[in-house]
Amino acid sequence: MSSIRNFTLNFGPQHPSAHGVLRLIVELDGEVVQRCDPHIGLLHRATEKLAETKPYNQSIGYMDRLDYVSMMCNEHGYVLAIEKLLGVTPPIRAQYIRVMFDEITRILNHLLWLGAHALDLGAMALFLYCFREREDLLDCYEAVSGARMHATYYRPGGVYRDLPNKMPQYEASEWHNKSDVTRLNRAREGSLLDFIEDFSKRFPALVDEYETLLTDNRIWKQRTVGIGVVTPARALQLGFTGPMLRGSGIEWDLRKKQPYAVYDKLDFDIPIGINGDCYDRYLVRMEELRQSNRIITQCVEWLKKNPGPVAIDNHKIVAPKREEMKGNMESLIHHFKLFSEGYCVPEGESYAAVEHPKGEFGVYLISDGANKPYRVKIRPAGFSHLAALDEMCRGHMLADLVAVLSSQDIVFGEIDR
Amino acid sequence: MDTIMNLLWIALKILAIVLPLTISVAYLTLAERKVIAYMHSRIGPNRVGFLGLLQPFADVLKLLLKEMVIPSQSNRYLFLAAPVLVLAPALAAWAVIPFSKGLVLANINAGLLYIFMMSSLSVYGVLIAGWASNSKYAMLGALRAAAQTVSYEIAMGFAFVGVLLAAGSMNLQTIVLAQSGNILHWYFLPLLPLFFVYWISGVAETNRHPFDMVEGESEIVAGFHVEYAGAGFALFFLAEYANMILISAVASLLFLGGWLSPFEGIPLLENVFAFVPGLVWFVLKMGFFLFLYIWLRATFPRYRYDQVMRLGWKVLIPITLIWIVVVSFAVKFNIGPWFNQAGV
Amino acid sequence: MIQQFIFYLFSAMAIATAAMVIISKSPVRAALFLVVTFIASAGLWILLQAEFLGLVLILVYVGAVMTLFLFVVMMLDMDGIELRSGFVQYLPFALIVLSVMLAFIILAVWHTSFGLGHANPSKETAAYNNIALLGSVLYTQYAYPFVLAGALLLLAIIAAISLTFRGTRNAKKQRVEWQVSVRAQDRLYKTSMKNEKRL
Repeated sequence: MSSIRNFTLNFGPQHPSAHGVLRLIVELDGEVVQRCDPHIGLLHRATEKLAETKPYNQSIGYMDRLDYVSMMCNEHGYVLAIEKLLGVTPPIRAQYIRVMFDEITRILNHLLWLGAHALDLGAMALFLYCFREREDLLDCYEAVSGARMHATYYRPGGVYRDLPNKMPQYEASEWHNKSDVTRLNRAREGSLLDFIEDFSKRFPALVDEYETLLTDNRIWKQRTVGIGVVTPARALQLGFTGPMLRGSGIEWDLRKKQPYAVYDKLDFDIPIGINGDCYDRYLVRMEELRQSNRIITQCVEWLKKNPGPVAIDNHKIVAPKREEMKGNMESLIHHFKLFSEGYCVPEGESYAAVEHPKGEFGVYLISDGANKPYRVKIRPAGFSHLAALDEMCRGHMLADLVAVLSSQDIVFGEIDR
Repeated sequence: MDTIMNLLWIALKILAIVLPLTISVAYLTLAERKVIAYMHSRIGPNRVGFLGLLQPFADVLKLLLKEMVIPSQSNRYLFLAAPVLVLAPALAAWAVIPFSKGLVLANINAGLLYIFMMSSLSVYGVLIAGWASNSKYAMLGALRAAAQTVSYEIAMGFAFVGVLLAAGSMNLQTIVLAQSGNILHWYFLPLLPLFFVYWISGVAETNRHPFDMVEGESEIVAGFHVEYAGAGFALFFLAEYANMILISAVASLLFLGGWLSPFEGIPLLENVFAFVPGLVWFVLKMGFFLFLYIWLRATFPRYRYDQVMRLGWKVLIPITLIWIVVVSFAVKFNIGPWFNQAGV
Repeated sequence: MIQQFIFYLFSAMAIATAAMVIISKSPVRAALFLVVTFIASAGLWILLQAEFLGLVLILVYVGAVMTLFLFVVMMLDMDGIELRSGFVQYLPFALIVLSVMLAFIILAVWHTSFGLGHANPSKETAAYNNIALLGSVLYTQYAYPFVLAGALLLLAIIAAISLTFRGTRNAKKQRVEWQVSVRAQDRLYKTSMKNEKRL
């Protein structure tokens, strides 16, 4: 018999699926994957090196762009690390705002993941429905910071500014007549908090709708049940965190185990899967959508009742208000120092991790007393997940590789940095 | 002289079938895009012409004006002949479809067999397209598509056998007339499993969602027609939609009573709707199946290839086998209002 | 008259493509020419008013058998030149075999079929249903050979699979019945973990 060699396929950097630039060299025996070798680095933008050359506040925008589908959680990790070294705690209203926007970010991320996962497996409708919901949340981002996606909203010491009292509204145009516009503006008549409250009231029904499309669908089950199984012990050894770990049955969530911001004051549950396959991870993320909604409702309620400052008073760290700056000499000097040199962080090193939608996102910061960090090391959640792709896919077929890859929720911004 | 007149008349009838068919295929592409768009809470094409109604012409114009790239090492004649080989059987099968009582091009006694034959001929175009493209991925895609088509043909054939048993003839006119009388006489009731099996096999035969593994998955890009651009691609596209319309037509003929009115047999309503010609009912039923095709595409995830094969061989064929035995008992002992009439 | 024209057209097609099967350089083209030969033969059979046989010929031979031939020929990527070597060497032997076969065929059919007295094809009425006639003979008189043929085909399938099956490779299989029967509520549970102390 002539020798039968494995067939090597290049799952090229250009992907029809929404994962970014991944080059996978897949060795196949017929249809079964024998080995799969990810080549990364095609999106490397030297974020950590650039952060060493810029004052601390100017790198917050880089953090947004790491995992570019969940922006504010990345900022939160970085800002927590700086605050640890500075030894400051933001005011309670700022912490509630941060938690609320973290959960909004979690919903944003999981909606995009759901859409991309469904699209990879063939169900196109969900992609568009999820993006429709994302539009409302991106409008929240825009109202509070001016940018739909990369907000640069968190600052060490609090957040940039308080929540607005008005939401931007639609106007009549060639494509929307007056009655359309009235209908579209129905939720935008009040402040941002009213808008978010209206969203959180509508959202559980929408999640139920998406579940009816997929959860009991036998084609979906045939594509995801039993695919990419990871045992709990192996998941811990491979360095999984977040929904990948919880899908395999390990009860670990940084919001409960190492609480930060005001998570210990809020009431929410953690979904845990049992079998560690793609279906369980899908269920975990769907349930997380609902729990995030619950947290947002609690935050909105608190924020409506408790006005207050959203940044600490220490103007050596947080910039003073412009009216103050234009009247007061001391504020002017603070403004000048902050926007030319920036604040200096005392010597030391700190590690801060947040429960990012993808897992544990950590920032390890080493400072040598200057206005720029000595080293910023970013611990992305997706890196260990992608490294485990080979082990998860061996023995499965090529179509399952696509299912597992999209179930891992990989975004190349944070893997390549 | 007589034969020439005969031939001319036949040519005219062929034109009367092919022309509306081609226009329907063109507008089916638009309908698909619009219907899927509305199901996705967006609007489909609406810029070209009022409500996008001129979009198919824009598409056809674009495809015809594109450069037809022929791979260098490929077999030129086979490469160019493959799309034609896929389209020709799809069009030729329409010769035996009765649009209304007596409105059929060729009323042959083996009409059902003829349709079955035409669907098995279209496998060749796919295989030759994959081979002539001289590309690893096209070849793999073509083999997969051919294997899928051949497997589901068996299930489809068994569904035909069930209908044949029930109607006692392969003549499509006879099959439709055997369902006359009442909406309850239509064959979708006694042959319900075969109806579902036929429908699922039809969707799998035309390589449509959720069985479009061969052309939808990211690893083999577009399957067997990856190397085709311009007019060749247009012909493949046309053939796929013509096959869709054919499957819908055959499904309506065999199981939903073809051109029979659903109000037949109901005393009052029958007279109210008596003015509606049979052709309209036929087209409405076909439209229903086409809508079902589009709805399936907008909603379901895709099957993996081995799951597709498993469904065809291990699920659909046993169902048909069992139901054929049931139907043959029913026919033999004249059970039910369907088989009391003419037997074999 | 039109029947004569069709007859000559299909016969010429059949003879020409049959010759091309042997002459053609590439195996794929030869297989495709064979397909055309089958179609031409089917056309001739339909002319003889045996439409069932003609259609079944296309359905089975062209639709199934030749498809499988093409699968094999396309996958193996055979070199036509190597197959055609030794033509001159084997030519005398081939001619002998050819003449013997031709002699047998002529002896068998000369009297009954060739000759101008047998020129007209049979003309049956429009109610002639050769499918029903075939069925009434096949399932009664020839039922036993029919069932035997089916059993033979089953044997061939099993033999082919057992020859090529390489055993379950390193593949993770899923049982579809189990997959479809899982329920979402059995696979997920919610816990309200208690908060640990802040770091």
